[in-house]
Amino acid sequence: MLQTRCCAPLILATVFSVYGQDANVTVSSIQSLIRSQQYEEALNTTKSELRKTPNDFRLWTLEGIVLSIQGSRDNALDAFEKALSLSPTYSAALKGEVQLLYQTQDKRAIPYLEKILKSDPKDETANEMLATLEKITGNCRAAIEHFVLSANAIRTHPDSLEAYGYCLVQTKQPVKAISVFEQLVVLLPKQNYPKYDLAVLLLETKQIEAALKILEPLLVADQSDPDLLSLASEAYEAKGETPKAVSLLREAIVLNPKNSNYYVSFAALCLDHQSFQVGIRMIDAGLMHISDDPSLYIARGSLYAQLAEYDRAESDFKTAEHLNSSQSLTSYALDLTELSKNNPEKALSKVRLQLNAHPESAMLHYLLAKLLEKKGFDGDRGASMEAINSALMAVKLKPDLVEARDLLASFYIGSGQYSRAIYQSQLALKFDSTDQTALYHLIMALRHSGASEQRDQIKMLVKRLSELQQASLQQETDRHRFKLEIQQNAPLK
Amino acid sequence: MTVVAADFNDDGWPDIYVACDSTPSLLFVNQHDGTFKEEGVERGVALSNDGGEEAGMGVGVGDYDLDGNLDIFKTHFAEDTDVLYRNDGTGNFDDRTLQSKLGVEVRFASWGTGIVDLDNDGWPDIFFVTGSVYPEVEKKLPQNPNKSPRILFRNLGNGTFEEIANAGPGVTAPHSGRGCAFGDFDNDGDLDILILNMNEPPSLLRNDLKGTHHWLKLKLVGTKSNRGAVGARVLARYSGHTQAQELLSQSSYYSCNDSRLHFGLGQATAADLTIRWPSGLTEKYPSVKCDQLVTLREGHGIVPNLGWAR
Repeated sequence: MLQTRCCAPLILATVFSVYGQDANVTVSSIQSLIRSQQYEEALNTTKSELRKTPNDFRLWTLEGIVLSIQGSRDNALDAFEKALSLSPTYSAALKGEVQLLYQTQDKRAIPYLEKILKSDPKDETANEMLATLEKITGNCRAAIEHFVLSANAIRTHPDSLEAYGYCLVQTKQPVKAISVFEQLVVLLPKQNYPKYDLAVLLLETKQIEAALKILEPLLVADQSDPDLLSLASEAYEAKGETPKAVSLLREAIVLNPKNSNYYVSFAALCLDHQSFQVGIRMIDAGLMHISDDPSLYIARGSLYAQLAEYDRAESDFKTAEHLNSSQSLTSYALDLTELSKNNPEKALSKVRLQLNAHPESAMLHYLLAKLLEKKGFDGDRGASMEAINSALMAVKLKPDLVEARDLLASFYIGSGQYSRAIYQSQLALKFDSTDQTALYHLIMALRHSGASEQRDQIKMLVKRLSELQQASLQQETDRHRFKLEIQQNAPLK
Repeated sequence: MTVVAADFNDDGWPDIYVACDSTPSLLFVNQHDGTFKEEGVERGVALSNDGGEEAGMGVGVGDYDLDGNLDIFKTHFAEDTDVLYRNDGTGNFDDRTLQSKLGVEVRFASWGTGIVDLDNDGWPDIFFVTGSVYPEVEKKLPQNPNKSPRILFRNLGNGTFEEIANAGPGVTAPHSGRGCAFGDFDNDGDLDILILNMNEPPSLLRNDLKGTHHWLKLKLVGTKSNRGAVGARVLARYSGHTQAQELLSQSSYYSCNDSRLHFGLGQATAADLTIRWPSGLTEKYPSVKCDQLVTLREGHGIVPNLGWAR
């Protein structure tokens, strides 16, 4: 929560500076009364003067200040609003109004803050307040703009830093978010949550060693936080230390057997290490604690599909959908299963049905495009318009769905629209610089565009692709180093 | 898994294509000075359409679209599309698997293959053999059989193919095939197929074409070039099309085809031939009549067939 600051002295100074000498005598005397904490007399004097000059917005503002100090919030707000109705841009009244509204994080403060900033765009306090309120209303982009303008102020305000970091994450700027959370860690050295958040971001940006450097001291200090254990598990797995990853995740599950995320993470580990039966056993254990979480059924269904037990997989996917029909991912999984059974027509009709129910699902649009691709092209004319439009809708709904961008690039290459293919591939690489498919499509498309300066780019891209392939191969080798086995005496019940 | 030497960029020098399993396939382009440069990725023949490595089993080389350039068909593992790479004439390739409608068949691991005109209509078709790598799997997963049918795709002449579901018992009978060679063993003017099967005798599929399509078979004999004329390139022009073939030392999967180059001509009754010998000599033979074997000796023209039937 953002700290609130008492602005009464500042507001008083503002009131004092605005008007002429005579007015100042009255204002000045009321001000003195306020400073000497003679609030009742200040209020009475204000009211008395208001009877003589009811349109004096300074007096209304002073009344608002006194009422605010006395704790009469609603009356104070009325007074400030009266002042503003007489002088809409009166700074002191604006600040008074904002002060009170901000205390309850009331977003009605936003337009007032905007007025304050119109006259003084560099007001860091106002920028910080506005940023916080914009974040609360979900407008992270606007919030970030104002956090930037209040950089000096928020440096020592942990709540604001946290909000700023949150917004950077929401707007997919993890690198900047890391910098903010690093500041938060320095500001709150005894708190664990900034370190945890920072570690999450470092993992997301594949800075594994840096993440572990933060997590390991936390683990030494406290092994009773299952979220911490789960995060550390993810970090160790990313580093290739699977036994440690498994051990930590199992411990997290023991500490909190009702958190479905841990079971889903365990299932993902098992999928990666081709240890499908182990994953199924773990999910079975999880379902005994949480029988109504669709994610567990989806995870188990995916594991069954890998074992080619398609009937069981489909049963789990159907259960997941029954538990949460808004989860169109289930349908995606269902349709993948159909694909695996080589029933593309059935899969197509299912996807179309699901799209009618969930037209907002980027994943379903992508899946439809993928199925249409597999169905076959229209000779040299390339992918059908329906396939292309589905993929376009997918990226419109979810711009960072790189798989859909890759598919679009493939369609465009197939139909000779190389500049569009280049555009989609470059966008995909912007979201994921390690996307080998996008890199390859870019190479193929650039090759057709012919300009000699692009040939040098091709060589560089081919080299980059080769490096990524080597890295993937190494990861694959590392993954296959470990396979999870079922213990004779399973620790979980 | 397979290596093919052919002049893919049509500069008179043989290049080398290596179909690799689980790593990018390789195209070594002849630099004319005794060295080669690997350019598989940038030339579009190393990876799948999605930039992924594939299982690269067998390689067929032929001119499926009759543009005078050598295209490549590469077979792969099950659940992966076999890939058709179309040569643009400069040794750069585009993946036309989906556009050609070959991508619909992904059921089986595929092995020996050829781009060969099996119905003599003038448009080379695609044939390949299939078979599982792990025979024991089918006991647990019957949907992954050890033995599976051969696959025949007929060229429709418009850049696409159609899978022929019932091309006769020789094609539909399930076997676990590997090598596959093409040739006219009975000298009746159509291409037959010899297939090596795992743990059973080979299959010899005899093609008994009926109909009015014509053909032309060429036996090339080098003099200045190697006697077997390996590396010789033939362009046959008929009915407004040009088909390229090259005499290869090997292709398919550990297989070697009949050294007589077979051209289906469709309704054309003659073809204009251009032969580029490995020595660099180019010779032209206009209006060579159909339905015969013609022996061409480098520098000497058409010579009597020696010890060969039709």
